[in-house]
Formats: sequence, C-alpha cells, structure tokens
Amino acid sequence: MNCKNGQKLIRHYYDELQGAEREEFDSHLKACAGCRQELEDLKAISLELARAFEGAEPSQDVLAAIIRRAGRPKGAPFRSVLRRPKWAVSFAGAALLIGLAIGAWIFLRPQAEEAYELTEPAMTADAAEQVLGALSPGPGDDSFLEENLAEVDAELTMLSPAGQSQAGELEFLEQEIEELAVLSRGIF
Amino acid sequence: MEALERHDSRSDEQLFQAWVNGESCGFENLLARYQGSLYKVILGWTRNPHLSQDLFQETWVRVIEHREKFDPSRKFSSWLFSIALNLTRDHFRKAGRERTDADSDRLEFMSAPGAGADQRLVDKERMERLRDALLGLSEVEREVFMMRHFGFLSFQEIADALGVNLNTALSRMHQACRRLKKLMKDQT
Repeated sequence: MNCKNGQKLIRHYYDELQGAEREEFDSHLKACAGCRQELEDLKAISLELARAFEGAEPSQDVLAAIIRRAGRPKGAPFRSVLRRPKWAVSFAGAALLIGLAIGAWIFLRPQAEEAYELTEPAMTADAAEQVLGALSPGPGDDSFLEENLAEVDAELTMLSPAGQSQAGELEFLEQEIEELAVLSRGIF
Repeated sequence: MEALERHDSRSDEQLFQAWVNGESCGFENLLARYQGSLYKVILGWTRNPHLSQDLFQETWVRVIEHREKFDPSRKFSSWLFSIALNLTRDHFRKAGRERTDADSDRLEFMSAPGAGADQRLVDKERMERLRDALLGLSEVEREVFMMRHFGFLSFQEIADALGVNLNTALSRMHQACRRLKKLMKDQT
C-alpha cells in the first residue's frame, strides 16, 4: 500500500478513531482503493486468527488454584498445579508404590503364612472318621456323625478361601515389588 | 466455572480495589474478565500451551502477591499484561533461547467440532500457514499484535504496558499487520 494512512487504518479497524478524525478517514476510505483492500486483508487475517485460537482457554485446575491462592493470606506458599517435571511425577509415584507394596508385604506376610498353615488339613480323613466314630453314640445312629462332618466341612470352607486369598495377595504383592524394582531401575 | 461467570458492571480498577478491601468476588470477576484474553495473548507469544498455562498462572500469582504495588491511577489491564509480558520475556531470557524455536510445534490448532477429514486437513494447512506467519514477526511486533488483537487493549494501554509512547506502539502494530499479510500471501 502506498497510502501514508497506515496507522490511521489500523486505528480505524480497531475502532480507535473518533470524532472528526474518524469522519475524515471514512471519506478517505471511499476514495482510496488501497486502504479498502488493506482493510479487507486485515479482516481476513483476523478471521484466520480467530479460528486458530478458538477454544484456547486456561485449564479449570489452574483457575481454581489461582482463586484458592487469592483467598489465602499474602505470602502463603502457593502450590502450583503445574511445573512438575514428568520425571519427578514418575519418581514420586514409583517411590510411593514401592513403599506401599513393601509395607503391605511386611504387614500381610505373617498372616498369609498362618493362612498357609490353616489350609493344611489338621488330620487325614481316615483319622477324622475314627475320631468321629469314637464319639458317635452308637452303631446305626449316623445323625451325630453327619452333623459333625457338616461342621468340619463348613469350617474348612471358611478357612480355605481366606487362606487362598491371602496367599494369592502375597504372591501378587511379590510380583508387584519385582515389577516396581524393574521400573525403578529404568528411572535411575 | 460458574463462579467466574458473574456479571459485574464495575470497572477493573473498582473490582481490584474491592478485592483488596476483602471482597473475594472482586478478584474472581477480574479473573473471569481476563482469563480468555490473557491466555490467548500468552499463547500467541509462546506458542506453547503448557508453558502458557504456567505463565498465565504465574501472572495472577504476581497480581495477588504484589497487590499493593498496583497504581490506581493506571489501568489494571496495562499492569496485568505488563506482568505477563515480563514473565514471558524472563522465561525466554533464562532459557537462553529465542521464541522462534521448536516450541511452536506444540501449538495445536483445532478444527470445528464435527469437521470431516478433508476439512480438518484444509484447516490444518491453513493454520500451519498462520503459525509460520506468526513466527515471521519480530518479538516486539508479536507482543503488540497479540495484546491488541486478543488482549483487546487499546494502543494507549499497550504503550503503557510496554513503557513506550503511543506512536511506537502504533508503528509496531502497523508493521506487524503488513508483515503478517505479506507472509500469508507469500505462502499461498
């Protein structure tokens, strides 16, 4: 554009020309094809920019953190929701998981070992039958024996899944610890 | 965030003063007024969404921490954007690099929701042209252009934020528009 009204054109486009200055430039626009073209170009650029930045907004987490900070006393420490390097997050997460896994392993191990013992049969089926036979009121009366066998079955059923569950949990935790150890080697 | 959508007819400076006097919604309304524009301006300067979130947050923390430094005779918008500008300049100064680096690749442009694959491709190409054009601006041109275009600051407010006179701000804007138009035409 050869016209020397470039700055006025910009102010006109952004609605910053007022009064006589505006009227004067409006008259100029009618006579100057170059300025009219420049104005059209500005509109086209603006449209492109509006599309390019459509939907660009700060995150809700950031806004919430700012509002929280504004409500605290001046000088209070600010906990940013940003500026956490990825490696620091990974390291903190891995360390936390390892700590939890080790703690759980230490806490659960004695119980799980006890559960292993409980799942082992206290006596063989033959021995149990002999004991129950001895306790039976007499030959031909099986009702007492059946009741006792049902009780033993019920107790074994209660103990066995718990024992299996705790034993399984221990195994799972051991696997987790191994995996985390591999992960931590990767991080360091 | 619903709390940020309240309408308040008071001026920025009145809202700021109300917040300093203990009215928390004064701050929330200021944040609501500037959240979109400030974020887009910073994004235009850095062209890195993650860094922009960070600088946006840091800007508001500075406002909160240095509230007593605000000169009520000044426009709040000029003060706010000058803080953001200084933080952005500091970031790149400390990082020892120019803004025209690989960070720009991280700026993702979006197609309108529901756009087909062809339209997305066209949008992407167009936006890449625009991004390249923005990269072609000098830093001072980009600073003024983004503050006027997305920050909606008047040229006088921009001049105040930059600490330059009105003519310098206008001259930089005019130069930015001409260069942007040329860069975009050269690409087609």
